[in-house]
Amino acid sequence: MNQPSPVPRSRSWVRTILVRLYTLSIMLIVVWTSYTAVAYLFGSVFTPTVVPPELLTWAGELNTDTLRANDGTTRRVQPPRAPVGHYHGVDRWFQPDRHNNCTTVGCHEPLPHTKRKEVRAFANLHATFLDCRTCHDANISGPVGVHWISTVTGREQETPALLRLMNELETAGDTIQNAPAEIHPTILEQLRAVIVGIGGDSALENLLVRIDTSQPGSPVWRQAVARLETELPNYTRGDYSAKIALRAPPEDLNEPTRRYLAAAPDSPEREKLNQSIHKSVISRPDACLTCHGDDPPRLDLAALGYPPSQVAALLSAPTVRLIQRTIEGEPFYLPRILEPDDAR
Amino acid sequence: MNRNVRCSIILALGIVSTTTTPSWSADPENCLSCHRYRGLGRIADDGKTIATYHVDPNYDDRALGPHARLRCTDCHERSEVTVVPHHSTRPVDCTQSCHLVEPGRPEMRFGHARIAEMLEGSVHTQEVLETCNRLLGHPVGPGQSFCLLCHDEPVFRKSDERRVDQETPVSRCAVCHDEQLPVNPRYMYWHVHARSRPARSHAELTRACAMCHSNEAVREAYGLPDTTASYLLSFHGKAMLLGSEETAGCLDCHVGQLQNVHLMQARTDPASPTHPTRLGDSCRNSACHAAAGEAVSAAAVHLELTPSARREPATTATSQPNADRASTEGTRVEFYVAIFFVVLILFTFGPSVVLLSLELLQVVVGRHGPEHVRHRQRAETLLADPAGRRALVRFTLHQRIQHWLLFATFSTLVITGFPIKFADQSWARDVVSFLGGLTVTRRLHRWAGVLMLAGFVYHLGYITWFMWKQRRATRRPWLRVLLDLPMVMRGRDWKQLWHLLGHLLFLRTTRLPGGRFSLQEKFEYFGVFWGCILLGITGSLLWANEWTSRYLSGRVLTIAFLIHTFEAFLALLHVGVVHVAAVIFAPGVFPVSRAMWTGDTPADKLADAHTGWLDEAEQAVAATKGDA
Repeated sequence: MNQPSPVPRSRSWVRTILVRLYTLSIMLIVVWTSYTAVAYLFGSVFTPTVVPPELLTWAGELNTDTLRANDGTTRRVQPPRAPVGHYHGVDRWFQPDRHNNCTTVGCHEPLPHTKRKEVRAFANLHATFLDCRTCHDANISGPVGVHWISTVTGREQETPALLRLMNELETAGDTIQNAPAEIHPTILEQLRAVIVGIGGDSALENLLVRIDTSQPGSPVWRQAVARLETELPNYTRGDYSAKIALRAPPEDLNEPTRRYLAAAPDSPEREKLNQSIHKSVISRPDACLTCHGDDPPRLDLAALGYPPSQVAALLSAPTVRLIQRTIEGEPFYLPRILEPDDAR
Repeated sequence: MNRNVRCSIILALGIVSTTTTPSWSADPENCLSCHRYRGLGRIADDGKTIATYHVDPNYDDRALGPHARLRCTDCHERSEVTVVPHHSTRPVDCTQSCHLVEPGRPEMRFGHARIAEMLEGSVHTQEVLETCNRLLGHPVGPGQSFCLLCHDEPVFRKSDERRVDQETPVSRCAVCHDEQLPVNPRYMYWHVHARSRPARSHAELTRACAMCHSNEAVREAYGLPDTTASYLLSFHGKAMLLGSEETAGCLDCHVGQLQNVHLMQARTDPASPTHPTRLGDSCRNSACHAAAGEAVSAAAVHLELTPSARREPATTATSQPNADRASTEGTRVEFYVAIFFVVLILFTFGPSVVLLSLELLQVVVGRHGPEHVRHRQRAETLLADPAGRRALVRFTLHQRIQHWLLFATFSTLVITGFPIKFADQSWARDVVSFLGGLTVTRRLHRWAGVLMLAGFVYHLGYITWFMWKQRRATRRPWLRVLLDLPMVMRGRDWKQLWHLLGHLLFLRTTRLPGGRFSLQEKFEYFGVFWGCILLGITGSLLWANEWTSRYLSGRVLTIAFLIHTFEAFLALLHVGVVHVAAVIFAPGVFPVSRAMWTGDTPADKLADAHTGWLDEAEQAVAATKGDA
């Protein structure tokens, strides 16, 4: 089809080679496409129709594999319905911590507490926003220096936007009342950060639009801000994309961990490494009351950015009492005073 | 008041004050103060299964579903869950009564016991559900309600409206419905609004049904064909995959009007809407094909071409009369139609690809006919002469206009039609979504089809005009004029093709001189001609399906659907692979052939495939000059 043009021989030679290679690739594409099409044609007529996986995928149970497969802060659980046999909707998993060596190497699960029946679920509740060492470090006692670290980057970060905004709304009542324009940009900025942090939420996004598009101080603005204040506590579910961790840097355990994983199971060396890795770890810390009951508590919640109402609730006498009785294995009966008459 | 009670009061007040529970909350026990945490859960003793105790607080606070008004203890045994740590909880019995409390109104008791009774009279009896659960590997645990096989926490289906549009009517209701006229406007609004549509999307329903109806063990036990697969092959299934909610889902056919899903009967039951005696009326219900003929029910809603898929699994003692067996029977004609098109595609597209590949191979190995250089010089000489250039115009302006019209309509048809054919592919959903949804896509497809047919009519008119001119000039009979049209295949074309094949296979050194149009081009033209007629007729039948079913069997629709889809596939292959490679990517024409812009053909192409046409052009030029 192509004839060489009257050009220098070297250029002509290169051009010929290029044209032939190009033609060969086109030829291969034609053959491959045709083969694929004919194969599809035969398949569509002579083999039974295959139902797409998304229509057949259903989870019979929630298991550790799905938990470990969790790869992002906004990842929704698939398929969209709850696993068969689990009634309540499971919209998304809790946020994974990619920088927690204890779980990422595969030794401990992201829900690590399994032994003590009376506290294991409560302890796991804390595992999504407390670094393991905060409770299990044998070398700490009394108040300790802590900070927030991002579970995404592993680096120190400021107080999560959700807590900052709750704090702002709780403590800046006067400003909201008297100088709404002053606090308006802060609310918007922090609300945007909250939405990103929790992986998107249509109700908060709607409130963001309402606040953003109304005049600060107007009735619409005030109503939206008031609604925001009542909505936000619902999002304190342990999902902050961040964890509370000790300021003291952790010991570098990468090398012993690598050797531990490489060692033969049940070998003395493995056992020795295990002890070495866990030498400063308390397996059953008495951390519940040190945080919730001690005065001063182990964690300075106010300094961590918790709003005053949350701090008060977490350190309140009834909370301490509930924890104390739970640890002691005594039943704690929930109050019924606020329930309707029939329930008492 | 002892100390414990005092503590309890303070705790409750503390929690209430910090969680700021809305006044309509259905969580007076404050269970959500702990259960709202996603991490509340544990890994079971088997080291694998996760027990999660997280409950979405938004479900109650935002009245997301019909159960939002219930307290936790309406379902969970109070004595087990009002103590910390909770006692081992008994599975929830969905048939137990619960308390519905509306502010300012007396308490109502409500339960689903009636549903259990309904199920016992349906095809999905307790025994069937139990067997299915066993065959599925016990996803519903011991003591749990079998409702969970199909249901999870029911959620009101929100519309696609913006949130502000959804909230506006609620706030409008709230003007009056406050403490003075107590009712939860958000809950009531969504309860009514959501119930105006099915509770679940078609995709969710299909998924729920497929859990058993596409499960090998369940199908084996009950002698069922894979009804999900056969549904997906029909238009309804494809539309469902593309997100259409207007199409027919499982319940639209299998649940009778004014009935509910819990009363579903087997197809063999005369009370079933899919019973052969009632199916026609079910299709023609006012929400679906109201204007259709009764024969519409013969169209395959469960279409399975493959004979092996139609074969029934061995029935066992648990088998009921097979409800769906008949639905996939009697598709033999449809199967043969499909076979016909497979053969047609193999024997039309196959040779075209072989010829194209061999042509490309000639370039790869650098092979030309022995007189290629001479012919090329002839072509270049002619193209340099205005008279010769005029004589070598292969496509007139009219023809080019027809080509571009065909190009535009064909491209639109491909873009709007193939996502429907390949509805199970994720790209198909993206394309349909980009085009504005299935309804818009189908509308575009149909009107592009109408335009293509208009172009076809234009072409027929053009041919008639051309033939009339030829007849007037030559005085030959109409048939002769027709057979002498440049695009009509003749005996010598086949001889030339045979010779060409020998040349491309390195068995002959020369090509026979080709005329204005090669056999491949004539073949492509014939394909387009035949395709326009076939696609036009079948497309019209499908578009006017209600009219069709009034006068013809519904199976005609199925056959038209198959012909339409296979013929379109053949057209796409020919145009997308052979034609595009030849006119865009082939080395002699890359980046695009000028033929359809200017009507010219490159000298190389003329020297290779149209030397006979060069002879004719030379004679015409010589005659013109002689005359001059």
